[in-house]
Amino acid sequence: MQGEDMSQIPVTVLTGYLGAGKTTLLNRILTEPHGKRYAVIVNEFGEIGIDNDLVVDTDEEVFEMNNGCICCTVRGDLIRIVSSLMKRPGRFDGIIVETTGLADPAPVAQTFFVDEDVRAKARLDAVVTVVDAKHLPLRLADSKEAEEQIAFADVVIVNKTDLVSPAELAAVEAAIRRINPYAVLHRATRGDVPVTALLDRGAFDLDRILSLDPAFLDNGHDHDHDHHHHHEHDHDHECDEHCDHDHDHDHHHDAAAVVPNVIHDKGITSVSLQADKPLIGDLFLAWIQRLTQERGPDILRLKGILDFEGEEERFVLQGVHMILDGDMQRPWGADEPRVSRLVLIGRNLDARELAADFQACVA
Amino acid sequence: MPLLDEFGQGLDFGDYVVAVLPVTGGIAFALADGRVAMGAAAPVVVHDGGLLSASAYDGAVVSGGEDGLVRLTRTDGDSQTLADFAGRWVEQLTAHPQAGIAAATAKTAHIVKPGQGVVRSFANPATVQSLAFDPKGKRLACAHYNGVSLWWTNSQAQTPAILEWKGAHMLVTWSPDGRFIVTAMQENALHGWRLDDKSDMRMGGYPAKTKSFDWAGKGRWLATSGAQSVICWPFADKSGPMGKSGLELPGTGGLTTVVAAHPKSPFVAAGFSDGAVMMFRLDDEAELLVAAPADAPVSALAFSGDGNQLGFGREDGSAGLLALPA
Repeated sequence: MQGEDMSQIPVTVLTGYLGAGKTTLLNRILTEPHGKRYAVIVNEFGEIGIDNDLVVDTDEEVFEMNNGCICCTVRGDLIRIVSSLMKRPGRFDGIIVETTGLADPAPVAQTFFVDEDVRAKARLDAVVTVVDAKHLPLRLADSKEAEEQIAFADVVIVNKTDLVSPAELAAVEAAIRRINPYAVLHRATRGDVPVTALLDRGAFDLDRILSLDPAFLDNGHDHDHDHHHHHEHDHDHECDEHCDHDHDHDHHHDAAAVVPNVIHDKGITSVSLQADKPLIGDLFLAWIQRLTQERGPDILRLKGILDFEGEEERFVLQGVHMILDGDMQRPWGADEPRVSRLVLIGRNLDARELAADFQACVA
Repeated sequence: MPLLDEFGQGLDFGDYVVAVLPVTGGIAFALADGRVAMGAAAPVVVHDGGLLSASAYDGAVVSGGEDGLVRLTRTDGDSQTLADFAGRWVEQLTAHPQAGIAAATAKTAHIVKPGQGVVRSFANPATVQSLAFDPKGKRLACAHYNGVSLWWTNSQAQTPAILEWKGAHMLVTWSPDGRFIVTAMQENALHGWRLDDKSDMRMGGYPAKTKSFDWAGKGRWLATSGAQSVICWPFADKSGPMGKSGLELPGTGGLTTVVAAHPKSPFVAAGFSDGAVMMFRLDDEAELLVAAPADAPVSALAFSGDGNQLGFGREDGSAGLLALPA
């Protein structure tokens, strides 16, 4: 998932509330003379469709997984379409997935972690969320999707900035920052953002977290590592007559205590953790697994780059709800500060408790 | 020496082999870029864009594409359009000598017949992931999220019988004796139903998804991909594999990616992720190396209708065709 395997096609997820300007942005991406070919997966054919590009119409179909993970959902249509497209590598330079306005971004993101076939051939490059500067305050007040789409974003396009006053724009950007301080923010009027800001960003985003000034973040310091958290398979090939595999799929979307602010949101916040001394890898992995198992529904996204004691390579970690994906990525650079940083975005996050648990993993 | 080196020929189609199919006089290869090759003959272009699905029908190849077409391609290279779904991807397709061709676009399964076009359409509750006819061609099973819908192929107005099981069913097959339906799921397990009492069964232990299965030894075994061994589930008894272990035919070290049963004898051919192809005899578990490991995983293989030839293809377009020694 770190964008280093060039045989994996980059996938950009384009999300945003109805009317925010996704289709305008998409058309802009496709018509710019960038010389690349894209396969575009959309929910319904709009006025999209450019020579060299392929537009695939699909019904968003969310599958709950029977693997004991509450909240573990994937997009069945993406699994199918990406697998088909990747039978012919080289045909496209990238895949763009446009979601419907009300879509929960989690199943899209989780598809790229959970499905082995998709993982092998494609990597989630970035989640790009388009918001309407004029109407975002309303959307945040009346829907949880608008807020989740921002929480999931690597890039936020604040669109239609010509329709708001500088004060309104500042308030909107502050609201976005409160939900997700780590996303790259671009202002636009009619989706006029350079394509390079959106597509094929690679592993850049994870490193960007490290480059952020910690003083900018309101919570403590942290940094993270990731690890493989795949589901166990019993390897005896037995047939059971009655396998009850009911488990509840409660989604806890409770509103958290909200810090009073002008723009009313539904309580998504972020916590950034940092440690300047190496972590004990086993301790950290045990903690993060327990945390995501217990608090998965509240944790929308987590990302980290971690320094494990006795390891010469950086451990990079990504997660969505209960799904974690991590690996030793590459050796630390000679002039690279060996700090561990972990960022969590979600609901009901107790920064103090998380910081204490994280610091307890320091060697 | 691998069997292919002695009795066959290597081929290179230059594109992902989606399906290998028995046709009149031999074996055909369907390629992801929209071409179909009859044996070692030069491929012909059948679909504009890409070929998504293919099946054997009436000694020919029937295929579905990104262009929304269902095409029938005969061994002389003649190709005709049987149905046009106006640009909707035809992702799933199967055929039966009497019932015709079943093709799926999104949630709808269609019955298509040469000369008649689309004769029936069945609306399923979710996207059709896989299709299978019963042995007589009277019913069509459509696998989808949370179960399998069973439709009578000769009646348009009907409510389907639904076999329910929570989860995504990605592949479906109907046993040759008509008694069982088995699906492969998103979660590296098979689910089965015994149709007379709708009892459920679950077959697990796979490290990867099962993407290919076939009934071998006159339907006594269901051979499956998804593990390092070819896992064969015993279906000869009344209760099928319930409470039993699968037979494990060990391969070359790679994961089994595709399996095909011999049409007459109790043989199973299997392709692996390391590019190797093997053949097994179910009676005594004897094994034979057909093709050595290669650069790409094996993506399709099949015996000819008379069982005298075996063809296989890989993800990189390399392929093999061999006449089996008697």
